[in-house]
Amino acid sequence: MLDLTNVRVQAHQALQLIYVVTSAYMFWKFLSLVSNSSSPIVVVLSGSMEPAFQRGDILFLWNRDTLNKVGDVVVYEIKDKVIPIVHRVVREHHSLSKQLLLTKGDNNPVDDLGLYAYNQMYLNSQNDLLGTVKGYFPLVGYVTILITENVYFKYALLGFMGITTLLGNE
Amino acid sequence: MTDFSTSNIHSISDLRQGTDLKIGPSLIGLGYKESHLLTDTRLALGYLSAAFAAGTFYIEKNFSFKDGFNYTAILVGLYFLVIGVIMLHSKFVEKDIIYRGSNKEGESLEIRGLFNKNEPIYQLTIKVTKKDGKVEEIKKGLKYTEIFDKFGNLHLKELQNWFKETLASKGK
Repeated sequence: MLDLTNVRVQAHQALQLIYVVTSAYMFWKFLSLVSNSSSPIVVVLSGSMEPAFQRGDILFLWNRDTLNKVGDVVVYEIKDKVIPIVHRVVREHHSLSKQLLLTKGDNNPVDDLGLYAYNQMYLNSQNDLLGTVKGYFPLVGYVTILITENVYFKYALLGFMGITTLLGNE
Repeated sequence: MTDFSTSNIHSISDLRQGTDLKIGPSLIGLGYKESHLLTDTRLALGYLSAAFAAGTFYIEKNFSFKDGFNYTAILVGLYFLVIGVIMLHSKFVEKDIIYRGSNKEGESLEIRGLFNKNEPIYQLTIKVTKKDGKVEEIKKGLKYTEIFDKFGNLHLKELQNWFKETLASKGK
């Protein structure tokens, strides 16, 4: 008869690895559902909000507020631009059904009109926002910045992870 | 498959894993056939949860956040439901069972294993259920030194002999 013992052992080991990846991913998706934000945690990549936020700060977002106030810090996405932007609301207009926002970086000399898409004069708070910043944690996100901006760091980290996996016990 | 598995003799957990793997094969020689139902259930549930995670990823790649929201909510819910079932299954059904099997005479074996940290003895509880429903329990410590040599190779014959003696020692 076919001996499946080895197959079971291999399947079990593969599953342990799959658990590590899927549990992290599904926890992320759970957060995203709760906060109603496609990206509930973001890393600050630019200095445009200094001194409130520095590069590398981690921000926690919430996208279930009906109205944003002037002074709130929001994260928004612009059509065809990949990287979300963290800036402060400086002007808002709302009716019962929708709210329009104008934003500006604390450290920028001008508001964000120039950053918006061609012919876009405002942010629609229902469609363009990833969320409002509700909390932050300093510096932790710098790892992400190092990985994306420094190839040597990326390879060193990959090498380190590889070595620990090889030498570690399972 | 080779006749011995090699474990790190300085790691109790490694020795235990090495032993677990060989209990089934060693009992084949004594006429017992392993039932893999518990393991297979755990694996099936595990891969089912992985399928839900894969589904969630597919939704993320092919739908916008708003369009995919409800699908994602259902899949995430199912995922955590299955993970919950897996945890309950391992806590209340699998417990510390490392072997289940039966022989042609209708006698079934259930082996549970416990170990203490820093003690090179596998505390085994062997439950023998006869065909007529009579249950007998044998508690015995299996010294790793009896079945592993100094290189960490497990000798299947020794393990088999250990089981033979232990099972023979039970009252008839």
